[in-house]
Amino acid sequence: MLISGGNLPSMDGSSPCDHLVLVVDDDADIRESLSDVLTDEGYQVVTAVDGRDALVKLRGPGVAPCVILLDLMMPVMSGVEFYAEKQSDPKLSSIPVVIVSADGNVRLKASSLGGEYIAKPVRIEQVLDAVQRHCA
Amino acid sequence: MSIRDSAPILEGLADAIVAADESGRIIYANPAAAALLGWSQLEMLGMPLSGLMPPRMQALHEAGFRRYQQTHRSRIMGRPVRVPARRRDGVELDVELTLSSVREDGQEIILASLRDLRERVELERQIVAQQRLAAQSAVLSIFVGAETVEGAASGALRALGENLGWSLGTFWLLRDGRLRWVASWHAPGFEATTFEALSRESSFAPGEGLPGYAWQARKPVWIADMKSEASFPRARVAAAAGLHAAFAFPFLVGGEVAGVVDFFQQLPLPVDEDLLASVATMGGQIGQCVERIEAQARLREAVLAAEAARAEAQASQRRANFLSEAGAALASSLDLRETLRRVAALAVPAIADWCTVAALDPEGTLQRVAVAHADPENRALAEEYEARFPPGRHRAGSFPGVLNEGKSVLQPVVTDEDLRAAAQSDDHLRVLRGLGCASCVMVPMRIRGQAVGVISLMRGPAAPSFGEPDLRMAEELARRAELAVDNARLFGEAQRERSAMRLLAEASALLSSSLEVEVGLQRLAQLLVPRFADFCTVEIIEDGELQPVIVGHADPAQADALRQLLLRHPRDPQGSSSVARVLRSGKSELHPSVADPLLEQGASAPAHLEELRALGLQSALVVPLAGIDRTAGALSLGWAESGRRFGPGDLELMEEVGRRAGVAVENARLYRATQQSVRLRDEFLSIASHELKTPLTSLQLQVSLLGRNLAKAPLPPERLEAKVATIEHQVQRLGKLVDSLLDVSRAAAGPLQLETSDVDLAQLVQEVASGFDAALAAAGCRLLLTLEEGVVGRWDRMRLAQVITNFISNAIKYGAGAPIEVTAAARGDRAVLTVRDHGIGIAPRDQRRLFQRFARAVSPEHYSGLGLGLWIVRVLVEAMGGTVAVESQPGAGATFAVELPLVSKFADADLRR
Repeated sequence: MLISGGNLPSMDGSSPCDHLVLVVDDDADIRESLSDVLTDEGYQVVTAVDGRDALVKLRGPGVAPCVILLDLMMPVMSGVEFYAEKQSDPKLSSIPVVIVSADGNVRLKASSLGGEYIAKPVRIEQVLDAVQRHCA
Repeated sequence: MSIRDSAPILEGLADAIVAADESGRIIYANPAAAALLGWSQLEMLGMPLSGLMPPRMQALHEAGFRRYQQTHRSRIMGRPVRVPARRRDGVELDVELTLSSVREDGQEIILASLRDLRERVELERQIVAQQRLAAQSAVLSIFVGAETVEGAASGALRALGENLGWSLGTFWLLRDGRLRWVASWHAPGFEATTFEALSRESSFAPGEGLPGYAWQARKPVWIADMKSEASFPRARVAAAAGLHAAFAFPFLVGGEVAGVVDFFQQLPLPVDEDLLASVATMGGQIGQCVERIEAQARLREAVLAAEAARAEAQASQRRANFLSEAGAALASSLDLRETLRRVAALAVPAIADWCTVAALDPEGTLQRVAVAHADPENRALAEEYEARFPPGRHRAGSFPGVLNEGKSVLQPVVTDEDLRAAAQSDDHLRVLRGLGCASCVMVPMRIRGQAVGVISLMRGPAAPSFGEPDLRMAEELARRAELAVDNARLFGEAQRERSAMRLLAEASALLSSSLEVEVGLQRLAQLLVPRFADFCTVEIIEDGELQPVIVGHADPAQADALRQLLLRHPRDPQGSSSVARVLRSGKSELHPSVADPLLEQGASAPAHLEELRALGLQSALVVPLAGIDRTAGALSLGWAESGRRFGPGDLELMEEVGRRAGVAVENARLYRATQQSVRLRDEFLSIASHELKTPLTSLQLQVSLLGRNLAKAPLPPERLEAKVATIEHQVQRLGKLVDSLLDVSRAAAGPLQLETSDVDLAQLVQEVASGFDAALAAAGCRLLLTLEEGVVGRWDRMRLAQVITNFISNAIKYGAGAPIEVTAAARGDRAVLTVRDHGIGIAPRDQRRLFQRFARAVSPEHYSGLGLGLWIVRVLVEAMGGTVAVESQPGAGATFAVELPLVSKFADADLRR
């Protein structure tokens, strides 16, 4: 089912939308590619350029993703810093996170960030698998 | 009255009367004459007078009588003379003859009165005999009671001379093959000074002179008149002194002539056999007495010799005991000073009243090691001597000779003058006198031909003088002492060696006991104190800076104080302190004695100097920590409160410690550098892989999407186009990254190959900048260009573009949301390009490392990037003959500046404008 990005369902922030994915990565091309993949599968995608941007978006109206695809190496606020902030916020702490990183030690790093990760370069299947596990 | 008339008177006279006529014939003889002469009165009538005389007198009588007849003068007329007369039976007798003459009837009659002297002569002879006996007994008693021949000689001469009535006598003894003067005597009132003086100096061989005559004859000899003995050496002087007759007799001991006595008389005398016989007897008696005296003397000598031998044997035994004790004492200790003190203590009072031992210490200075005095009262004086008058400064006297030439000296008698000559000062003289130095022995101690010290033994005035046996014993003592000294030294050296080895082993262990070299060095510093120094510091050079100081002291408070002092006054590595010099030259400095000038070199201010003085530094040693091709630091050691001093031996040992510490420091540095290098490389690799994976991610996704869509449904062309563009973009990114990596490996391999051409800087900047339009917009950075025209140089266009690209992309990355200013201008013979951002800035600490390979001034957590960019920039710029620099403050952005030569390195002439 194809739903073009645009009208987002109105949310009250209490329950995640089973169609919304937040993609956090400082690389524009990666944001674009991941968006393409997800929207092709019918998801709605919100992107953020770094950790701070992601928090702003999460705290904004109507953004309650069913999963966050999180890059680690970002300026301003890194993935690790974002995760800590997110976990300390009760409203956000339950949102699952999948680490998407090119870091050589991603497994180790992910273990303290929820434990789920996909190593770059990712395959479409890996992305869709990860999202489907948390979203409808 | 006529003779006839007086005949009856004459007949009755007791004296013999004979009358003769002018012709000398007897005309009358009285009965007394007849009785005296043995002729009858009648028989004598008509006899010539000469008939009454011995034949030998007749010629004299005839001559005298004739003279009288002619001249009426006679020598003997009227005065009594003693003449020999001859009796009828031919016997001669001495008579006293008195001649007179009377005239009768015109004729002269000669009257001769003869008095028989036989009785008188007999009396005289008896008197003489008694005198001679008296002389003999006097001489005998003198000799019997005498202990020495010389002692009896004078008395004997006097006894002889007085009793015999002779004027001058001399006593001679046979010594060394000649008769030599022993004593002289002359009768009171008789002066013969010249003769006596001559005799005193004379000596005679057998047959020479009067004494020699008697010697050769081996019996008494008689000289009637010395005047006629021309061959006698003393004859002339004797005659001049009025000495004429002489006799000499020998005395024999053991059958050989042992001496001669000679006597002189003031008138010539015919030989007196009786006297000769008498003196021969005396000679015999004297000989026996002399024999006895000599025997007694020999006995006494033998007794004395036996005594002396016994005393010598005892002394010898004492010496042997002493040597044996000394040997044991010397062998029982390996402590040099202790050993030599024992020597001195043993020597006193066993063989000397006081003793000093001086030895060369390891530094080669002569030290008085021990002083011992028998008299406890003199202890203080002895100690004063030891402390105040070092042996090295003996002015004169035997000491320097003994030490330098290695010859023993025995001075049995030391006079005050000697002391004065040897004393260095009045005080020294006072002490020497007080200690009592009247006899002295000094022996050197030598080891392998080198003087190592002197043993001096002194005895006071009350003790017997030192003799040869004492000298030999002192030399024996010195031999034993030398052995002990040698042993002690060798032991000491072995100890030092072992101690040094142990230290080095411990030092090495400590240096490697921790991965942190500073910990190892601190432990090393603590190890060295207080055994090898009172305090110890280690300073290390790291990146041109002297690191905080490592300080060791047995007292932690002192260590801390010193540490604070050194931190308060950081050392200038280019300064003039000893440590700075050692750091620069890599050569050790040994300061056995520290004085103000040295402290001043290290002081940066008067207050600092005061603090340095307060340390109480006495001796210092600074050695380099030797690295591979540089001096990694310096190890300083100091003696302060313990007052010890460093010497060349210490230098060698500590240089080795310094070498090991240097190795440890270098190893640590290399290890760190290697670790750093590995870490950076690993970081680089991980970042590189991350960087490569980023574009790969998009690429992979896009390609996969394409693949999926191919399977599902064709994409609208615009979407396809977009995807292809993305794919191309990613491929380009990848390409650039790979190029960067290639650049790194190429640059590492060797110098870059530049392709130069005329490049207009302003134009190139604009070209590069235009490629960043999209990125600038996305980052919210405004680009401001201030570009001077006509700045043209001969550069590698592509590489320079790479440089500019690098700066701008960094500026965008780190200075997002703020303007970026780029300027290009010419300044003199340089072109200057600057790129300024207002981003996060760079800390000064990181600025230093910025242009190094793999250097990153940002955390990998936030910023991706290989960290090669600025290094590559540097390599490229320097390859073009230029320089690159940065100015920045954290939070205030950064300005990168590149200077390039306008005049080409490759001498292209027509470039300049």
